[in-house]
Amino acid sequence: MKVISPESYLFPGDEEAMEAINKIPQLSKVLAFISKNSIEKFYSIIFSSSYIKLTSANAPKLYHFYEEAAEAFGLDQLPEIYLRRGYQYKTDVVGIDNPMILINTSVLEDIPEEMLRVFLASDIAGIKAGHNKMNFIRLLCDNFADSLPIPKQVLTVPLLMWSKQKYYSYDRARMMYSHDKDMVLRLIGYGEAPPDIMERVTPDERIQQGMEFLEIDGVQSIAKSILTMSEAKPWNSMRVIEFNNWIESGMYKIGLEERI
Amino acid sequence: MINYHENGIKASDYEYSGDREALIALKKIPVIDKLLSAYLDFTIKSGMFVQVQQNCFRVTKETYPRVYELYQICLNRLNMKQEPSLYIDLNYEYNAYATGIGSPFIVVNSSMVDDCTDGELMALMGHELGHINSSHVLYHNLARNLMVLLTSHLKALAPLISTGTVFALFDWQRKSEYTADRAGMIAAGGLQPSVDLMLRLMGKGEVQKYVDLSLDTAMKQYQDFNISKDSFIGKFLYVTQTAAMGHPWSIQRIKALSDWSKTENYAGVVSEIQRLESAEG
Repeated sequence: MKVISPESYLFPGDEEAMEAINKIPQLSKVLAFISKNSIEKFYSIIFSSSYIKLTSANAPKLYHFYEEAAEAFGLDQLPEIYLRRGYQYKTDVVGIDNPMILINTSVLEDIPEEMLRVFLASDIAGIKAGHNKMNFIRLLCDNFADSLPIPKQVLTVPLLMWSKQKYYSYDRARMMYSHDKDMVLRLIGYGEAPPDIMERVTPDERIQQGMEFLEIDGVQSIAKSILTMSEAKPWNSMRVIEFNNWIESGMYKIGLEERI
Repeated sequence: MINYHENGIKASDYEYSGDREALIALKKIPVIDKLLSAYLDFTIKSGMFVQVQQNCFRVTKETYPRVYELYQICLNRLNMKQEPSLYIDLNYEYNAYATGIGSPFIVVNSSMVDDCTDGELMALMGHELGHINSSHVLYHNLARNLMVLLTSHLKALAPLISTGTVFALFDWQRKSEYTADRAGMIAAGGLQPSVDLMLRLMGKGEVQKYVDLSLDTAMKQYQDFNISKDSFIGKFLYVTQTAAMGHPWSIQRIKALSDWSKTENYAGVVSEIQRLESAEG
């Protein structure tokens, strides 16, 4: 079985943004050098001193989830994984050549095991696709764009747009990994309501809600665009609709056939 | 009910050496004890304490029997002269603090009461009692006020002296946390609950289903931590990050507790507590 290639799950805007960055000569090397000698060292101290490092010895099942995902997405080296106390259902990835994954405790406490496997796989898909570099550029812009002789928004708005698009890629990667549309839809909404309520919300209901959101027009539509502009993550209804459209368009099946 | 023993253990029996020396030096500064403590006592009583009384539940035998019972054990093990009021604040974050000068009190967040084992909770409450027992509260506040003064008004006059003093105060504050950790360990009755508490604060949470954590794994991680700050850049980042921290890095606290648990000093404190406990039956 072939590995899941980034082409099969990357959202077009996400892929184009990364291609554009990769075309700038030497930029990748410069970014990797800066990352290696700044945040990778910095976070290595913070993470190893303040969070719990997960290994195959102390977290065998979890580590195995990541190993399985790494094999499926063709990632040769597994990143260092840390656990921190946090109530949001999220993970973070930092670093370029030596990435580190940080998992919030609530992810392990609340997300059922079969879903957790798929939830975590998107970290590996993101690393394989090269999101680390883009994340690092965003980090640099957030911290240093003010000191540049151009309006900050020239850099931050396109990067926020990219950031939203990477979540569309994550949803597709989860689908390529699990082949379970209902599960991916449930993961998008995870955290919107207590788990027992979320279990009762059907995928059709989620899609219907997304359609209603999509139908918002007029002045509200302008407000929608303005409100989402400053967000780094798309709203869940946007993700649901984008994901459903991708499945309905047949692109998922094409990607799957290419893989097998 | 507290059974205070005149000849029982005192804070000076377990205080971290750097902490004790700095405290002795601070106590020698004239006026501080009286003037500052009166000022802080007034501001805390009229501000923070009123808020806590309004928003938090006081722990009594009736309101939180489990916590109350554990708290009494902590008070006796640490041979506290007085019983600071204990409050529970409805809060998801893992945190607790001790404050107040003349009438000190402790606030523990509800998530800690919900999630911690009895031993972990005793280590936590013992830690806060340790701050009170060593008069840290007054000097923590002094440090905080001095920092504001030095970094704002006086910085223009003598920036180097101001910066140096601020970092020295942070350094002492970190040492005072080691003392409080030792008090927590004494209150909890051993090393394991204190280590478990630290691991919980680092992210252990309720994830035992997936993660098996122990002192051994923490010590392995301590080695990684040392490696990560071994290079030139690592050392630079470590020093600059640590300088302005009020608490030591968690992994260093576990190591410090583990080291102290093997000392004669700790053994002596434990045997004194055991002697008094067995005398009381």
